[in-house]
Amino acid sequence: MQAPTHLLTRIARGRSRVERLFRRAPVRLLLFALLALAACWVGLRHAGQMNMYRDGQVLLSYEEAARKSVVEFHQLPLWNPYYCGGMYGLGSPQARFGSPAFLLTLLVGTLRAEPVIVFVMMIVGLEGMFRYARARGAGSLGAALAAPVFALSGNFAFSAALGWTNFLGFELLPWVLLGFRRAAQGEIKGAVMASLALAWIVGFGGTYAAPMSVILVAMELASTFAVHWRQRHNDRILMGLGVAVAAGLLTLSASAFRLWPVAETIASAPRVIGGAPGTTIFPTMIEELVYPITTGQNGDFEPPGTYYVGGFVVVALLAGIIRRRSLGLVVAGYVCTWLGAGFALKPSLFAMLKALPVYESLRYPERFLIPMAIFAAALSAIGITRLSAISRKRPILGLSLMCLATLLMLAGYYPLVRNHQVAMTGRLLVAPPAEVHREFHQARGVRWAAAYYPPMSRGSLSCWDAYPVPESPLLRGDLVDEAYVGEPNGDSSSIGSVKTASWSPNRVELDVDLKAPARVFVNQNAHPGWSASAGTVASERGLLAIDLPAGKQRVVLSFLPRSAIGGALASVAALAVLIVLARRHRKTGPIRDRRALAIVMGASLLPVVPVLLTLLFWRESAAAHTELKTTSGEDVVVDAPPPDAKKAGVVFAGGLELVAVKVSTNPKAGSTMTIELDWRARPPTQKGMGVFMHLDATPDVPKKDLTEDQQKEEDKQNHLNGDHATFSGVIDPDHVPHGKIVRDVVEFSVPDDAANKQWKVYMGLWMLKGRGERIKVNGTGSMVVEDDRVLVATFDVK
Amino acid sequence: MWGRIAWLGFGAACVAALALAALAPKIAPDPEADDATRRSVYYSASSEEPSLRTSAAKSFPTDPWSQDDDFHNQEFRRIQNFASADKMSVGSLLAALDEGMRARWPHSPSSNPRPTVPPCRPRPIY
Repeated sequence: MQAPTHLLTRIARGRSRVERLFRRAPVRLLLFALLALAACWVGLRHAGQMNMYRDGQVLLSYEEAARKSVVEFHQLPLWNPYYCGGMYGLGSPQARFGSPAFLLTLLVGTLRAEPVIVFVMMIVGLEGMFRYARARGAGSLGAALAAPVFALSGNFAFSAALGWTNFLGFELLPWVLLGFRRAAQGEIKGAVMASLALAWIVGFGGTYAAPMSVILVAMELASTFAVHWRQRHNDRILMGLGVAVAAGLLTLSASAFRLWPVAETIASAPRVIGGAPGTTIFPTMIEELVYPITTGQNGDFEPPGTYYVGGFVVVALLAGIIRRRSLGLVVAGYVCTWLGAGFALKPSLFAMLKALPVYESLRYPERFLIPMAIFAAALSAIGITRLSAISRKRPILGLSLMCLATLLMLAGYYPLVRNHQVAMTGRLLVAPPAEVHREFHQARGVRWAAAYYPPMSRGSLSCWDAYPVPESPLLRGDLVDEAYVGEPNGDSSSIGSVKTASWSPNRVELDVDLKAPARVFVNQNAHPGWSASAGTVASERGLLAIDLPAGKQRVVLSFLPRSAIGGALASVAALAVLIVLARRHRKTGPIRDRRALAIVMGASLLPVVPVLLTLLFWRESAAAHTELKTTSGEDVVVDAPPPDAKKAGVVFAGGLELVAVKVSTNPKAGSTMTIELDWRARPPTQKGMGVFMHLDATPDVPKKDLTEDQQKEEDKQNHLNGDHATFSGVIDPDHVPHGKIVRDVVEFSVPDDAANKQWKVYMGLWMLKGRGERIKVNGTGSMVVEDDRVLVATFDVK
Repeated sequence: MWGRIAWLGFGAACVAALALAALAPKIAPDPEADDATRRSVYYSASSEEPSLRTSAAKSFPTDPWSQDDDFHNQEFRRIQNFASADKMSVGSLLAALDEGMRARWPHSPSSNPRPTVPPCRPRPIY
């Protein structure tokens, strides 16, 4: 009997020693740094090479454009001329340079900094997760063991491999939750922590992390206040609520340097997301969470491992779940899983979330599995602590289970680390492009290779981002000089001459000599942030232009948008307030009196002052919205349909009427034909609708006489799809102005093999942002309607 | 003392990460294409443009941005193939496409390379 007792005593003592050890910051930071180093090893070893994954190319080009602005031109990275014909760099939602991590880019260059940023963010995530788990009641051993379950989870592995470095912003979420938790307990330190962490996320391009954090914070606050409420601490609820509100205001202000520009961009170019994405819990979600990544060839990741937390947590997790005080964490984890299932789990919480502004633009519900890992890690940490507590009463059972859970957690480190290495090994890496310092020009470019262009001193007009980047159709990739008067590359001797005298991202100098007043064009997108030393800045179908008087002069164009100045001032003011509050409350405990609370809340409103002053004294025209023109430059919003259009009069239940239809006659194979649908609003108009358009040809051979493969081929040849989300690519169906006609002009490229067939065009409305059901037709007018789809035209292709 | 050792270890791990990244070897870049090759690549690429655009239009018959984006994807693959076949840098061939268009290098009479792109309109559903 003595031997087992002796062993149990030794284990118990050893556990206490390790608990004490992990309470010391340097010890656990050393462990975390070693884990992060192992996970990032492959990335760090290949830091001099360029990732060819398509999204990574674009994100890399954003970071490199910002670096060039600072290092080469000694300017703030406000305007990015290297992509899409020029864009508001600070307003690009996915750009990550608005964070402290940008210092690493400046220090070692864009490519080499990328894996170092991943390494740093991982340590930040590990320490944040440790602290959050401790705040939720875990001991230091459990918290240290469980931290990698979140901070090294699968999403961070494949995000790093795809070049989605901005997704590492999720590593800051535990800090945000911890900050708001402490703020809700009346602690000023919490408000400071939350504000700084969330500002970092926003500055780091946290397009998913930032909006998700609002939901998570709401759950965190609810859980904290529920405890106060149970304990009947009404005054603490009031104090906590006050400090949490102050934290929220300071978070908004601290993030304003990016939030304002990004909000402006999104308002002028809203992201339209359709479909009903979903992930089944069995087997896909389980595969994503439990099985490691097996391959990742050039970014084509299959589900296994993409949100990996591993099955090794199971004992600790179960021990954590069955504790009553874990209810808040269990609920939060469940909500994330429910949201993560998207439209696949009914009723769909994600569908409800998408009804809200901002959240309507989220595409991938499964990304809620990233914060789910926070709660899984916290529960596992609590599980280890609970087993440790059980061992005091029932030593054999408690210690055996604790040892088992601990060993399993330790064993789980290997696949967590390995997951990162496998993902990074699957990247397609190439030699980085050579740096060429020369005169800047816009090139037609290739967005699939976007990162090649800034080093070549070229901009790529070919453009993709997750939102419709405002881009002028007049941009050209063949100009001899990027500024011109009259026709591009044309003879302008009768009007005058324009020459680019000096060029940099935020400042362009032109030598202009005009014989009469004229409009001068600069081959970049227009933005209200551009101003000129002479004349009036204008937008010519989205192209930057200046109306100038006659004469010889040097004109300086400068880019300094109001949102950059106002946002930066608000952020600086918020930082000042945070510093003062942090110093003032350094040695005091939670706020417990109303006067102190009033001061904190008043201080949190101070950063609003520079925002108001900027709005009052800095005049700037509103950001240009998408021009309401068809691709051929005709007006989309008109008073009446074209006179030669055929009357339709089809009334849809969604609040729209198809007034008329016009289809170009005698289409030929290989040509482009036009199908025009003219719409009128009959309010109330339903949100989230899109147009489906099917072009079906009569098959040469009846379907029943074909094999399965032949049927597939026949489908490809005889069925074409023209579904679209917006009318003429510029107006949402629920934004049709009352009393006007909106023309939906669809240019249809007739394929070569479409000839000698009769084609029928069917169209209707469907719920694009939702489950995809068709909108009912309530009145058929003069058209043939079946299954809520309208036969718009029948034609033969020659 | 243990605390100090742990801090040193932590610092060493961070320095190691930075050093690994800073000193990681570059892949030796392929040589730049010479003038004749660049002109020939421009000629081939611009000659293929109409057929690549037709193929892109078939995939996305009613979406100008998607057609153009698909065309650029195919165009880039061609450039990668040229580069790997002749062991030349991809960057120099992308630069050749730009230079050829700006300097009006000769191209196939049947093609007319477009210097413009349709505005970015990412698809709402993939």
